[in-house]
Amino acid sequence: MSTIPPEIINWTILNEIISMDDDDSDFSKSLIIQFIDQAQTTFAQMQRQLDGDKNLTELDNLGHFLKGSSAALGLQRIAWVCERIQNLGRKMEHFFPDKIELINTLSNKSVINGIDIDEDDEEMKIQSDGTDDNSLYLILIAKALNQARLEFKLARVELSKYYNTDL
Amino acid sequence: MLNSALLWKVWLRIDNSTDEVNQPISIQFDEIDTIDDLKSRFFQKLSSTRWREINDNASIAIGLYTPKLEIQADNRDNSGPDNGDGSTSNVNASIYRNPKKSIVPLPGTSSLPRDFTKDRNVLQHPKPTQKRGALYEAFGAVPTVAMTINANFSPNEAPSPSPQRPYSTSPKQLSATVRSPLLRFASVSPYPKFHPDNQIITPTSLTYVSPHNKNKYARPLRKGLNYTTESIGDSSYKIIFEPDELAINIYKELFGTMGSQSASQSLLVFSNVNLRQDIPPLDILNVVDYVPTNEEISQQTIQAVDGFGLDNQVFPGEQTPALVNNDEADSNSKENSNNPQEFQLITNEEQLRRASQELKDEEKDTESPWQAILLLPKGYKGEVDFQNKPVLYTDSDTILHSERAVDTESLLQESGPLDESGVGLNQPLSECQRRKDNVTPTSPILANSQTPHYSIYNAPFAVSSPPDPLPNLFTTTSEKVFPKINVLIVEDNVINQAILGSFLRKHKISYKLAKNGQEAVNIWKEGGLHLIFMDLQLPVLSGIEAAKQIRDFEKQNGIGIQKSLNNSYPNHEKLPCKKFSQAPVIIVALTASNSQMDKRKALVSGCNDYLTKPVNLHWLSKKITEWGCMQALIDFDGWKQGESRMTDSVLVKSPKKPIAHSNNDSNTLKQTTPITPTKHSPARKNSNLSPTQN
Repeated sequence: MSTIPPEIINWTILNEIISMDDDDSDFSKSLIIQFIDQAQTTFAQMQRQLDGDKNLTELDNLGHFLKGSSAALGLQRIAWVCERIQNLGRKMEHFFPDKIELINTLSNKSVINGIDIDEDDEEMKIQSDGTDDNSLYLILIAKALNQARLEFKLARVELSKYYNTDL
Repeated sequence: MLNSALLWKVWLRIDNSTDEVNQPISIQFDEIDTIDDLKSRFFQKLSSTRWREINDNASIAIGLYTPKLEIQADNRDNSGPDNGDGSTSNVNASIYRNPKKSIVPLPGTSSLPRDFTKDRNVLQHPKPTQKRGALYEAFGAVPTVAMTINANFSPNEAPSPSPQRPYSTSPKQLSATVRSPLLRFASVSPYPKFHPDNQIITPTSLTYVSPHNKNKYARPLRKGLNYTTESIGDSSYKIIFEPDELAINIYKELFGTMGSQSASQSLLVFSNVNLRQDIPPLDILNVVDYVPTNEEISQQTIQAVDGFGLDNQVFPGEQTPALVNNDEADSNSKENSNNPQEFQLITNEEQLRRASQELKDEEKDTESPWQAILLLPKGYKGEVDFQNKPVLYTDSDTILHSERAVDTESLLQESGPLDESGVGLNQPLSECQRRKDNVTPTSPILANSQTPHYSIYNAPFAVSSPPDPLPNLFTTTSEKVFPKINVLIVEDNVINQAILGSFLRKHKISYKLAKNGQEAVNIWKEGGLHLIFMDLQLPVLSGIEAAKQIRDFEKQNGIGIQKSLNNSYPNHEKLPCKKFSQAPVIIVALTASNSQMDKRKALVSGCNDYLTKPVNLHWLSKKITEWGCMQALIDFDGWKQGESRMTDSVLVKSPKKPIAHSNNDSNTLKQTTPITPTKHSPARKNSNLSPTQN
């Protein structure tokens, strides 16, 4: 498992997108807004899977899906967490780090000031009974999903700063 | 020494120059002048020339060639230019390393010319011919410096300065040189190896000697002298000095005291560097003894020298390093030399076969000129640029084109992405060589790989550079071939669709979108697509499956393979052939991860190439250019007329090896990918991996 990037946004990547604003002044911003919608929708779908179908393959696909767009926009910490979800869904990884550990990797820790890091966490409804092979991965994905929500929140703060609007 | 009384000057000459300015030119400089200043002054000297008009400070570089030493192949240095891409390194990093096998000079012999070559691995400065082949040679100026590489040569051993000797060397010394143990001329494959790990050779110490080793300039380059190396095949490097390097430092390190450099030891001015860097080197020969250029012969009235070393195939006065140890398979693509005007028009298969046979025969005779076949698209009009050397193809009568390739398979397997300067201008890589080089077709490697050779060119070696009849020196075919292609983006995420689509719109490339593999296949069936960017993990039908289906349909419809194979699929689904190019579509996989597995699966399933997501837009545009140019070239008529039709001269044939993938889907026929480089054939063999989406 790779380590989570310390920067919330990979500006090299995002600036490539922003550079296309020349042709269409709000191009990058519209993409970001679209992404915010997409991320929230995807999180909700993941949560539904965790609460309902518990289909790991579906979680893998959802993780993959959001990883694609977040990585394309340079939102690399979200992409990293999505990759974890993807790999947990494939049972290729068997661990997910604790929230505090991941927050400590942030290069600019001041971004978490004024943010309730547990605010968006969903309660874990999965019980590991030791018999269900998938429950370990579902629990880890639930943990990762909470992290993804937090990372999403941080990215949103950063992007709002950049675009100077409340995104 | 009375150097202080002399004007400081350094000789420069244009590498691969036209006869217009192929003489060494002396440039005055002083102690604060850098390479950049030299360039400016060089331009001043040539202010009225055409060369000046097409170059500026940024497009030229000053440097020299230095051979690699095979014997030091085990002496790797990761920071060195091993990767062949060219990387900046510090001379000092490798100067003082002692190659395990290098020969320790006997004390006291370093100043004795006769013994010199026994103690040092004297390698001659590789000439353009040796790196780029005979055609190039026919036009180009010949660098006139010789290099020696000797890692054991410490600065303390710097030989006593001796006056510059003229060119009139005795036969004895020449033969002494060629007997140097490293000059196993005949045992060296003339073809460059492109696998970075195949043979890693780093330059150790760079020292500079006069052509005939009589002058003892063998000094290692100064500590901290900054330069960039660019690997020219596996036997030589191009050294390019950094623009801010002081000229005096370079001079002192290479030549010693001021005034020691002779005109024949000119540093080389590489012009239009970017263009040339894109062109892979030609046959790389191990370096042989110095051979004087024609001008030098006339100037110095040197008589041809007999009695070269046993292995030596070089004849003075003829700048032909003979190619020995040729692979039979290479014969068609053998690069040869000739007077560029003495070409032979080949218009049909029979002629081509005959010419090819002649080439083979002539290869056995090292004295005969070397020839090359250049395949040009049918109806090709325009110039052919041999490393900035135009050939005169301005009217269609002089166009060489062939109806069929002699060896379609080898051509096919040499297919790689075209890069801008590479269309039809590159030298084919031997197929055998390629098979040996187990190169994984990763994007970066592919980008550097050989491009197919689509032109037939037949030119004997010329001792003298012919007059350059074309006014436009730097017109390349590629300038006219900007890919006007239809692209399909297969991507389920609307955000990524928007990014890629916006990028293509910005570059005025027409594109369509598909959000899953099934849509992709359906849109492909409508025809007219040249390039597909395919995400792999897609809903409904994965990119892998979609690629397989497309390849299957292509095979059933005889696209990209020999027509005769058509019959083996009597009941296949007919595609609306009219809109279809006969060339297979290029599929570039967008792999979401760095997983080698994904990449391998993509290639096995029939993708030609891949990009790692998030897609770097620079790479994306490179891929579009490369593959687009390839498609435009394959479908040249169609491209020109705005319709898709394959030209007769296009040579696409499927490799015969079927893919041994363990696909459980019995409907999926085994298929091959005509343009997929064969380099990943190991992956095919190992493809126990499930090709289905995981």
